[in-house]
Amino acid sequence: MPIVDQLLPEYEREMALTRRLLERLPAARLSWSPHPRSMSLGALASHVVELADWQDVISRPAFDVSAASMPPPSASPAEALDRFDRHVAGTRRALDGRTDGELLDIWSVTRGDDTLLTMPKVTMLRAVLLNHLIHHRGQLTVYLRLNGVPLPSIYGPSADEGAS
Amino acid sequence: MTSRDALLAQFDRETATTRRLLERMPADRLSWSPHPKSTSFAGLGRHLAHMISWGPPGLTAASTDVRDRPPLPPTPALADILHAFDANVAAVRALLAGRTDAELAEVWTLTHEGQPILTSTRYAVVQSLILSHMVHHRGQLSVYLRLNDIPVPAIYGPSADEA
Repeated sequence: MPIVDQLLPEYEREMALTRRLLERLPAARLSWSPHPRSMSLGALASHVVELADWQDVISRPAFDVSAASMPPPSASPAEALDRFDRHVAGTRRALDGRTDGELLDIWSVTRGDDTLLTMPKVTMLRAVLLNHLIHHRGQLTVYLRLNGVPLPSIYGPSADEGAS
Repeated sequence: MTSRDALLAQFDRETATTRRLLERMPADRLSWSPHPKSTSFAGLGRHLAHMISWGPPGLTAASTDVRDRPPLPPTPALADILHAFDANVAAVRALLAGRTDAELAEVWTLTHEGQPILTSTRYAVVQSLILSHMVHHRGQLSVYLRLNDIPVPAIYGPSADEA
């Protein structure tokens, strides 16, 4: 089975689950944080949103950390959802039709002329970006719970929804 | 690198990270939960250890009935959770290392009283049912640790506590 036939449906499924959580962000609570050392709800949600964007890894051979800048956190749930939807639409287009050869191409993280690490693109997409997103999405479920937001089922029923 | 080798490398890395969080759970506060509707440390820990045990049926059987689901760790004690986690990781790792890419593309079916409720390639049993599911609940566990002032290890990058 071509890699993309496994990866694209999995991306679609995970992003659909992610959107259901982002849709429930309480606008009045974005600056809330569960602990002084924790990210705020708004910062965590924005981090999840940015991890949905795979376009740069798919289309370019390397990422130069010295030229990197984090976009500012979304100012509202609507803005976060809009960014997320654009990332997902763009990633879907970028991923569709990619050959195994393209997805197994080596991708690098560089700092100027130095190469810091290399891995096949599919490893960066599946094992780094997607797992990283799922990790922070898991944290987001606790943040939402602590704010009294009912949780959708994710991999199985939550205490609020999905029990048969 | 075959997809089996890439999956095995990912399995090793993610289970090692998960163990680092599990072993920091406070043995004297395992019944702590952040919210009345949330599971406890013990509940999360048992679930994390248990989900790996879908590996042996998912990697070897044609189908498995939910009634034949492998058992949970015997008690909510931290030592039992860690022991079950280690045993399940070792069993799945050995099976996965012995599978070919073609075998990982075979389909496994989970049934309930004979009716199929889930079909998945063996590859996806490990990738999604075990690893994605583990990463999700491990993310929750990282918040539980923080709320108890326990340093959170680096996971995909440095935490506020450790690089």
